Amino acid sequence: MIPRRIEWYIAYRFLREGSTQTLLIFAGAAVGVAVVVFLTALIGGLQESLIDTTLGSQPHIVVERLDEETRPVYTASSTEAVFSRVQPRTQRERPLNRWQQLADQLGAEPGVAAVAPVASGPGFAVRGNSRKPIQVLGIRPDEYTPIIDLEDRLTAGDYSLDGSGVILGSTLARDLGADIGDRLRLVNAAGEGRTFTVRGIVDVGAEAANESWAIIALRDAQSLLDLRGGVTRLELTVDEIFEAESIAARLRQTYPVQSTSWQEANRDLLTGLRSQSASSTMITVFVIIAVALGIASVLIVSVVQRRGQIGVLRAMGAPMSSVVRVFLIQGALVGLVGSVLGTLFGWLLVLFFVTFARDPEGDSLFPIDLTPELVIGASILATITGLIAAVAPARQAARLDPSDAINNG
Amino acid sequence: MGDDDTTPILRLEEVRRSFGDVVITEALKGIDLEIFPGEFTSLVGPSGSGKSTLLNIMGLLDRPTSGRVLVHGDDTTTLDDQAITRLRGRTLGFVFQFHHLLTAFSVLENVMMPAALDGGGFTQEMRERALELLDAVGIASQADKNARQISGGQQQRVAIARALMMEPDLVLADEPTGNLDTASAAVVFELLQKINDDTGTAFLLVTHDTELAEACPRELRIVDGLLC
Repeated sequence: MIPRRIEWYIAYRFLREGSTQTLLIFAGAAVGVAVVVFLTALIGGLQESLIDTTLGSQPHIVVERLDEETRPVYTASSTEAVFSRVQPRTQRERPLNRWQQLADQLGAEPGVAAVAPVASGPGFAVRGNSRKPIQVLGIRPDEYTPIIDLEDRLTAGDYSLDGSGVILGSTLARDLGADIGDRLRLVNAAGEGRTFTVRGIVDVGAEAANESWAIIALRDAQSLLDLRGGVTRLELTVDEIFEAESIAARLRQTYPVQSTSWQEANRDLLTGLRSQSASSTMITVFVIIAVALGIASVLIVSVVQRRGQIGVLRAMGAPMSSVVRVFLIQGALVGLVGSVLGTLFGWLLVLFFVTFARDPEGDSLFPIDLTPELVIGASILATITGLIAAVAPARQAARLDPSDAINNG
Repeated sequence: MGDDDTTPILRLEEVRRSFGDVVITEALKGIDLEIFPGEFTSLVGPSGSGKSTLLNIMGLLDRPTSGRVLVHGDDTTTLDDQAITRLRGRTLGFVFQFHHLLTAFSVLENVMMPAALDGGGFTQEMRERALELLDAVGIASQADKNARQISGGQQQRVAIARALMMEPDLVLADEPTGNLDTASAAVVFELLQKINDDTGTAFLLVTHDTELAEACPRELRIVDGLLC
């Protein structure tokens, strides 16, 4: 079924002859492809930006000790009826058992890219008369970088926690009036504390983190939070972010720990993203259907207009299969040319959006990437759409009775 | 199968053709006919007598309801679309009243088209043959023009050149002069006769023009679906 040179040539000439129709159908296909390209790039960019922001302050997976179970004071036998009220137990910050060994094991799990220990707990930051509630985050800077790249998010100072250094969330630093080199006191829930020097200020893109994070060295945190060499959780990065949920489930089954993926921690966001993707897919499907109908209707008109010529082609030795291929080629060419024009048009729309849609500070709202995969995908989709749209006209042309077409064409 | 003058190019045996499902109209009521190499034949008959139906069946554009059509002695009844299309393209040429040139192509490309469809594309050899044919019908100078840009008489000559491109054994011409003025009609008729004389190609002309029909060495008359 490989088209012969003459079939390509006839298809090309038929398209060229009906120049107005051809231009209109190219324009229709191009607009369709442009909408698909622009929408996909826009939604993709938006989702990537949202995920990036979310994961700017969250690891892919958090592994913690299992919650303490609530045990009833009295367990009734099968013959007794007991009216009871079981109150859920208060959960304390408790260190993970044998966390070094667990970290090694988790690091060897398939799909896990990095593991970092974190000692975390509540406390207060005190500077002068200002006292702010904080979340102490004890980390090993080098090990923590693959989890959340804090260095990349520094707005001032260095990514260094040596010599009782602390990196503050940007809002917390502002609330405390603290700047690089300033000293402040961090205290735990029991009121015990020590003095730290501000080494950096970080903006992780999430307000809750920016207003509470006080990042110190793991050893300092273990001492401040009285964890005695322990850590409260292990934070993991995985190779494929959307695999995090299944990996977290696997870890729960394999180890006696509680593991939570970023998806589980952000259900609402995920639902929003899925809804966005679904509406984008629906719009794409409807646009494709509209483009296909446009191509099909123009080609059907072309078949009707060329009845006599198709009959003569058949009389001169063109088999039905040749006639079918001539119209399939026309459909595919329309799709392909439409996709090239549409991609160009889509790119201009992206450029327009990036240039003019800006936040109050004048920055782009979010990056929109017109990736080669998207361009190639749109081209293949449009070409296949054109090909499928041409099936009905091609069959109609092939079914023409040559004698009838010649006599009544 | 034989190719000498005693084997007909085309042989119709008791060919019948009916149309309709509920009300059946029998357009051909049992035609027996042979066309031999080099013959120049006319087919006349009143409107509705079955001329066009007969021509379509002779041209392998339509299949009979019953009876057989043999080309060079071979039965075409069981051939599939691909085979019958190939046989038609290589054995028969067509000239239609409304010539049906392909308006998306040049005059030269129109003439080359039957060979290109057979061979898969245009070649230099085809170009040379097409130019010879256009020269023979007197319009070589129009070769590069679009088929739309030439007069009706010239278009009919292009159609004749196109019909001869594959060196067919038989050219079926349906009212080839019916759409032309008297002068152009005479020129086209003389051209067909000359080609017949020069190349030995057989012609069957369907016409309403009794003068034209009588000028042909063999005249067939069809009335109510029967040759008489």
